[in-house]
Amino acid sequence: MALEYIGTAFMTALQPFNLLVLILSTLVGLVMGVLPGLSATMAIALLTGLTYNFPTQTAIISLLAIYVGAISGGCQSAILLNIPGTPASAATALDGHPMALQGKGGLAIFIATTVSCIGTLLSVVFVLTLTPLLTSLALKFTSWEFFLLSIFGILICGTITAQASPVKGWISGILGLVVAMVGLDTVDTIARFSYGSVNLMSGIQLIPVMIGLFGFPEIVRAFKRHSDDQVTKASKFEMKKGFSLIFKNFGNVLRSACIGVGVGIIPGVGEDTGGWLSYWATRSLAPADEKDTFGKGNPKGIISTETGNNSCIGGAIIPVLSLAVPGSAPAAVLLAAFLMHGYRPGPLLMSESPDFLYNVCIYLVFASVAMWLVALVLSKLTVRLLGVNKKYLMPMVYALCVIGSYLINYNLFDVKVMFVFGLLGIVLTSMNFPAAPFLLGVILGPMLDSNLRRALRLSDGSFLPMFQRPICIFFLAFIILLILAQLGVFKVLKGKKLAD
Amino acid sequence: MESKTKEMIFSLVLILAGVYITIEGFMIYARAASAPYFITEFTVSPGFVPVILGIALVFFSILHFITCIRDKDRKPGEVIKARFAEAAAWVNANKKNVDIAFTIGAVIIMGVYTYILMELLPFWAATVIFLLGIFFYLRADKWWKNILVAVLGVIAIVIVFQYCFNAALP
Repeated sequence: MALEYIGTAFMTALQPFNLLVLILSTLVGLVMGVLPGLSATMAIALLTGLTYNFPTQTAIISLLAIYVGAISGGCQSAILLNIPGTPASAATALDGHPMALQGKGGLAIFIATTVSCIGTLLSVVFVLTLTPLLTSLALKFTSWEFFLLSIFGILICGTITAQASPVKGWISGILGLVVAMVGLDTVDTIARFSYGSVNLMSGIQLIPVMIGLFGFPEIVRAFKRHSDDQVTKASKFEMKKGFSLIFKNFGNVLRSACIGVGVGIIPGVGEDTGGWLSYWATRSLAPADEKDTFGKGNPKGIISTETGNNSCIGGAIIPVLSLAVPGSAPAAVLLAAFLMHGYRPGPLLMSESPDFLYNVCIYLVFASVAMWLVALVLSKLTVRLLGVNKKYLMPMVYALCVIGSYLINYNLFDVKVMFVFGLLGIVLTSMNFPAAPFLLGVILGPMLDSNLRRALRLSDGSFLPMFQRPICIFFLAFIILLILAQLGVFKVLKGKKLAD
Repeated sequence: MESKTKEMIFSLVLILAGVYITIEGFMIYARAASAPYFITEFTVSPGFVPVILGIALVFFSILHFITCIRDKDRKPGEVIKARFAEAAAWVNANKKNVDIAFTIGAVIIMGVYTYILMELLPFWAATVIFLLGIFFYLRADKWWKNILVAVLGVIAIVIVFQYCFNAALP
């Protein structure tokens, strides 16, 4: 049966119109990835509304291609400009730009693009194997588990994204949950935080919130930037040397792919963390005499970062498909897009739409191959692309944000919501509060609320059943330990013991 | 302004927001408990989760506030006073900050486009006015280039969305 689904997905992707959409979407994703300030999340969020009129499979192909393109495109500006196009490629700049300064920019781009493609392809293997496993585990989940899973997701996302102060990440997540409470509640249809407004009663849409939080601050920031960044020209690709370097470091590629997938699976933790962790692992495991070469143009740094961040794509899609919990911010938009196109990711996906998993995997394979080809061609134009006047580009992007928000429901109210959340995004950014937990809160809010109240209704308002289920106890223990550890309780206890 | 000062003030705002959310949650509970719903059990009421979220927001915001005012050498009261004084000094010093005013101006133009122009005019007209306004405001380039980019940009957007994607623009 699986082979039949794979074959059908293959044939769908090979249709001329779908191939054209694949190439164009990859190009759009790459361009948005190359341009600093336009993130993968923003790219998918913007284009989601635009794919509304596409046939479903074409829309899915388009969105996955944009995702892969945007994550991969960031490396080119990181290498040539020393400014990562997306946060995912931040670690690429460490070794990529020194390579470009040494006249090896072409080789660096070739390596980065090739391992990005390999990273995505390897992550597809994980999607194919882990999604059914996780889905069968999720079938054992009741309302209590889903409630705790939501809290677990927000806590862990808050902890990782607000490294210095996890409390900030948790506050951001709570704010997102509060936003999710706006509108008619899903259990009793009683209006909450609606103040008599019909628009608010139907709830706050995810896409305008996302565009506002992630896109708006970048647009506004570009208005005050007086950039005089120097773009280094890309040299020849040196494909033979590039392939040989990748082949010699294939262990590094495999390790980084595993790290990337692992990071991707964790709710809300994005491709940037995947890239940094892979870079850190490679640097830590390098021989002592080689450690100093990192940050000075060591290709191993690029290989690990780009494999790590791209394999996060597959990793982030695994919880989307199996639990309906996004693994990263772009995956959160993808989840909303899947829902918009009539798919219901989650534990029942394999029984309701068993072909969907295989479709996503095959489309990811096509997207990564298309990305490799288009990115190498595009790299010849990147220098020109990076020279585009931001004062022209960003207002245009804002007009696209307006369209992206409007097309979700054909309602101008959503555009106004986008603006409001844009201002909130600026405040959060300037206060160093991460936006990812906020977004995850908006996504997981309905799941948290409805499952908790459903569970409490079944138990006549008692919390006791939660403590009688093994998976719940695991989640509870993890949540409590995480909070206590992050608040420094264990450190205090350890300090007291030592003092005694 | 030092980031701790900004964050201290923000955490106070968050505490107030948390208190408001908690009160609103109880009000939702009171509404749900009356006719026609009669949901009297608090834990299954639609107000339950907002109350919990409000309390959690207050709790974590207080924790954050404490982190912001923690200082080995000074008492908390002195730190709070010093931070408020620093904030006031920052506001006074930046009243005429050109960079901040410039950015706020750009945001206001975006707000006018979103809330007024989009309501009154068709998308293409509103967007041409917005783009022209902001290009000239930002002094993007020569005046004829600004006009050309604004007009061609909107034409491209309309062609791509309205005709290629078959999407109805406002």
